[in-house]
Amino acid sequence: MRKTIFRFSRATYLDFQATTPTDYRVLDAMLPYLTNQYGNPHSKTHSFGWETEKAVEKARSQIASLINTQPQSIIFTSGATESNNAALKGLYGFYGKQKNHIITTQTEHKCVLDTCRYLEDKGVEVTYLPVDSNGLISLQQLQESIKSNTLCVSVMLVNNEIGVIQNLKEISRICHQRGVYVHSDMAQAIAKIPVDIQDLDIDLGSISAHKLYGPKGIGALYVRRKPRVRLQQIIHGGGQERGLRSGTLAPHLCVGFGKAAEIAQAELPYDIQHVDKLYKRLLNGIKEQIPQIQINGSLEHRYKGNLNVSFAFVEGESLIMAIKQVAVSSGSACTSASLEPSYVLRALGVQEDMAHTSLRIGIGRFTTEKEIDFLLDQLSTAVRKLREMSPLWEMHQEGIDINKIEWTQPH
Amino acid sequence: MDKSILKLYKQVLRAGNQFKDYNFREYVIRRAKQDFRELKNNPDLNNKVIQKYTTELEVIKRQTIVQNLYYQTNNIIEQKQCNI
Repeated sequence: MRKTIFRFSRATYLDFQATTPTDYRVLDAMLPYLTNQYGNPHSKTHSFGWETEKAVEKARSQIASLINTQPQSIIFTSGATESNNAALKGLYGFYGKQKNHIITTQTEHKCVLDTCRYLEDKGVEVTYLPVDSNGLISLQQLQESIKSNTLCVSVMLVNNEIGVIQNLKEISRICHQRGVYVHSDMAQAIAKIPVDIQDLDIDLGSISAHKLYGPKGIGALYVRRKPRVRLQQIIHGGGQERGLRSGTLAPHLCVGFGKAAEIAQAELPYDIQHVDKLYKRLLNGIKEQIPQIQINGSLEHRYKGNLNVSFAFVEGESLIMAIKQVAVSSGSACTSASLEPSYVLRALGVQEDMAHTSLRIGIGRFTTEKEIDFLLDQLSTAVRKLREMSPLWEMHQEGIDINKIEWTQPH
Repeated sequence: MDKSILKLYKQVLRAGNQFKDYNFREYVIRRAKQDFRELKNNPDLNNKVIQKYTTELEVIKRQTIVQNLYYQTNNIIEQKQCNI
């Protein structure tokens, strides 16, 4: 009997922390600047330049309005990685002689940690604050770490791997009392939770367009103006972007980013409501259908669209392969190339075997209930099949405590 | 409900259905239903919804053409029988 062959279908996308699809409305706003309106926004002498400059400034004000600040505080960059680099290296470049201590956390994004390592080579002292098992830093420890020569504290608002939301408002309050700058990588938080810069009171913030349904290749850095934060630029040139980031701006990217920000502001309550509903469905489904799971990160201080789950007695790589019709990620896209388990999960204190089986499921604006149900279906079947094959699971079922076993023979 | 609003609603739904991409299609239809249902319960939002959807309709018409030009293949969810 001939086996029915299905036409090749694409996996369903549930990895919204890695990136998001470019919203069709954003593409619509970008196309005029990729076709007819090709002027350089810095050309001051003709209408080609004037019209693109107008569009770029409109985009700037759309982004500023999303985070409740002034357009003059927004600098366009090539992405959150560049913004993080510019913020830390910029602060060090300006104030580094007197103040050379930076405080950050162990769960930051690789670009912040790598920049800190680079600054350590230059003679900066860096304190990496540990996190508790919920993924939150201790405000007490932060208070104690601040010294007289502390330059800044860099804490990400929403973690990309576990979705935990830090108490940035309190952190800002503590730091400003001691005269320390606050930088936050807000890439995963913008357009996902309400972010009000006036309320959070931070000095520098990194934003990435492709995390809010915008185009890839553009981001922004929020640089506070009252009181003024001085930065040394990392990209020298013609002095564009208030001298902080030289280079011709890409009008299509800026306009796309601005449109994505405008949509995000209008749709935020609906998006949050939709994601909440799907999160409840997902979480209840996992808890009911699959035993022996562990949610990594605080359930309370969490962005609902990011769920990091570990499945006991299942091997991580085989699980990802078994559910390849759903696009999810293990850990973060940055660390998935290497075999070592995610440093974020290690900082949380998750056991190595559980860290290896962690899955990060992302829910976004375009996710549907059917996709969540499909994921639950695939997951429960795959986990069940893999556990049936696992001798460790068999031993667990018989009541043997795996941790008490002596694996090596005494010599 | 007013005839012109109903007409706009039907136009939006019909245009939204032209998206070959599963996620965009479901999103447009879901949001349109949500917005117009909210309008039915709360007629004060009249101008806001009409304004939003008259521009949206043009965007959707343009984008269905562009997005469908580059469409590759369907989402696994759309298969009648998902191979589990």
